[in-house]
Amino acid sequence: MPGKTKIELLYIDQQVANTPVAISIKSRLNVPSEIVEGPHKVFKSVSSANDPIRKGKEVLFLTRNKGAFIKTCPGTRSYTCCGYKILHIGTFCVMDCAYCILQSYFHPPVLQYFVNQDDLFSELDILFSGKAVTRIGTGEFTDSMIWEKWTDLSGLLVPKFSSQAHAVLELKTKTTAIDGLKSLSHNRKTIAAWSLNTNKVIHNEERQTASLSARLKAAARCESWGYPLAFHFDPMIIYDGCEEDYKHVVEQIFSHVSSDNVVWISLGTFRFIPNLKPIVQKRFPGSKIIYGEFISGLDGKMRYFKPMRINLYRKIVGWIKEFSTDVLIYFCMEDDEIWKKSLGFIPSECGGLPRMLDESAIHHCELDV
Amino acid sequence: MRSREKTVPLSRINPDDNTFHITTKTCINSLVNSIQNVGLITPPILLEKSSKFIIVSGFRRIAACKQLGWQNILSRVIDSGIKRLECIKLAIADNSFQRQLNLIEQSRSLYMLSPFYKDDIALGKETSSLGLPENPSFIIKIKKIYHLPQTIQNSLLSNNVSLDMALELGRLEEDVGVKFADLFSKLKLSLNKQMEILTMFKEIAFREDISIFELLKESCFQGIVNNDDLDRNQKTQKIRSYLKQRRYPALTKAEKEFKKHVSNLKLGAGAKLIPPNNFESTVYTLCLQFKNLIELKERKAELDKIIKNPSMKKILR
Repeated sequence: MPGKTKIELLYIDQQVANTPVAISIKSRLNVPSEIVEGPHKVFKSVSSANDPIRKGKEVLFLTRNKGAFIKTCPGTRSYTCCGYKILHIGTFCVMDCAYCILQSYFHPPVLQYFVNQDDLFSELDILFSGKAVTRIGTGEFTDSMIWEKWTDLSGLLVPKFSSQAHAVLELKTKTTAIDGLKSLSHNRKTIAAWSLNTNKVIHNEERQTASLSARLKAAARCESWGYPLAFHFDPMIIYDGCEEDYKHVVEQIFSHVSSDNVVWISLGTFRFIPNLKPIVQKRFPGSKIIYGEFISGLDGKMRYFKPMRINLYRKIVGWIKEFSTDVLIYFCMEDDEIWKKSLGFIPSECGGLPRMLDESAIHHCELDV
Repeated sequence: MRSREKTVPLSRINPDDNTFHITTKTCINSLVNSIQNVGLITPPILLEKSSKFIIVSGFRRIAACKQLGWQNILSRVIDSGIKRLECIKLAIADNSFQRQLNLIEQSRSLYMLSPFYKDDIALGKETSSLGLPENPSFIIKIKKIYHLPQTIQNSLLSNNVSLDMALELGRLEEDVGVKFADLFSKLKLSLNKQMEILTMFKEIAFREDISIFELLKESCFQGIVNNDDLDRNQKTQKIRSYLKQRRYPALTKAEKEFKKHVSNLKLGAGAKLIPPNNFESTVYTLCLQFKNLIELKERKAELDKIIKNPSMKKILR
């Protein structure tokens, strides 16, 4: 297994070099830095490496987000989307998971952090002024908490969300970098969320992530600080013995935190665009995750054969329900057949998935409707 | 280049020194006939080494003359002080400007030349003047052929495998690569089918923690390959089906069950039930064929029967 990735070089876009955020990150990161005129040199340096994906984790590019900070989750046709919004704070990740879609999503994959936070907060002000119930997260194009070491982002975002009552921020992570959340005023408008997997998958497929036990201990600490919680079983990997292992994860969750404080639990089995396969073969030659019984789904992504997904979903739903019948369980990008056969209903019977999630957020995060 | 024409006794020419051997052709019958009828038009090129001569160009001509019982042969003998690189270029040019070299011959040529150039880009600049490919990335590929086992080279030469497939087989353990080359040559498969079979083997072996070699030796597979009652198309079909069943057991089982249920529906020739791709969607397609109202009414009656048939319920559960 290759050694740990570590940021070795900081590129700073000339346009933001003198901003307080860039200056602060530079002093906290303490690695050699270089001011560049634009992304070209950074992208070239990453693209020309033998392993551009690894290289993309070893440089950090501080720049402006020239597009929107608030985006709608792209979803995928033919499957039910949760209507989530993405708060686009940066791209890519320092952790290295075999199944990570970001490996093939960015061309080239570069760890970027957007320092024009005034624009970000202006967009949030507009969002909040709309007074619509909104679920928004930073963990879609990056991990929400990897930035804690070098930035004050959570220290700014959490209080920002605490001062309004219509939107919830979800911080989704595989780290334990939560110390900064302890003393923040959150008013339950920030959900601390973890992607979870079995010990076997974490050990074999998720390089440089926190262990399951460490993640759940961190979740318990957040709960003790009053934060609502969420968990994401995504991607669930099917292997011999996986069912017992996922059952163990469920048991571990509820031995660490109270089910009453869990806003939602999402389930999603491993799916991938076909061009991820050669990347996994090359970068994770010992990984078997791409050799499951995958078929081409309705959106062109490879998915486990449907009855296999239903079988695993049914079981994990049953185990979760043994601990709590109230906790909201939902599927990420699955169709009505999966919902009906695994949960016994389809989202449209309950007003649709976005509404189900909104209602849980309203209830747990004390939102105004 | 300094050289002179000289009549050389065939006994003094070493036919086993392949230092400059380019051609893959071994058959000399037509050459023997030609020399017998019109004589030796172009003398071979030799290099004097100690008291013997080694062949730079004309291996087949010399073999043909030997077969004709000649004792001596008029040759072009190049000066022994000439550089080895010049001899190699001469050997290549003498072949490549008479005919298109095949991939093996190109590989041999490039392999001989490459030690004299710092990299494949420098090599590429020289090769076009010798009638060889000049694209460095193609040169890199072709050079690898030289190291492939003979069976794989032969499969490539006889167009039973493509260049990419030959190189892919070359990346496997030698025994395994050779077995696949042999299989593909026997079954005369298209590249797509070759890729499908090879990928299936690799993935099954990886999934099941066994070697590809073990998988190849298994009796189920060998039973198909060695079944003399099957022609090559039947063997191909059975191999693909066997591999699919092993690689995708749940999907294959579902397909079999669907077929069984459809058979229970007893659809006539004018009706066809098509399942969703990989059973991922829930939408089935029913095709009904009819020529006139009478047939349409018959189909309607069949449709009513299908709807009531318990197998239809099982299909749609």
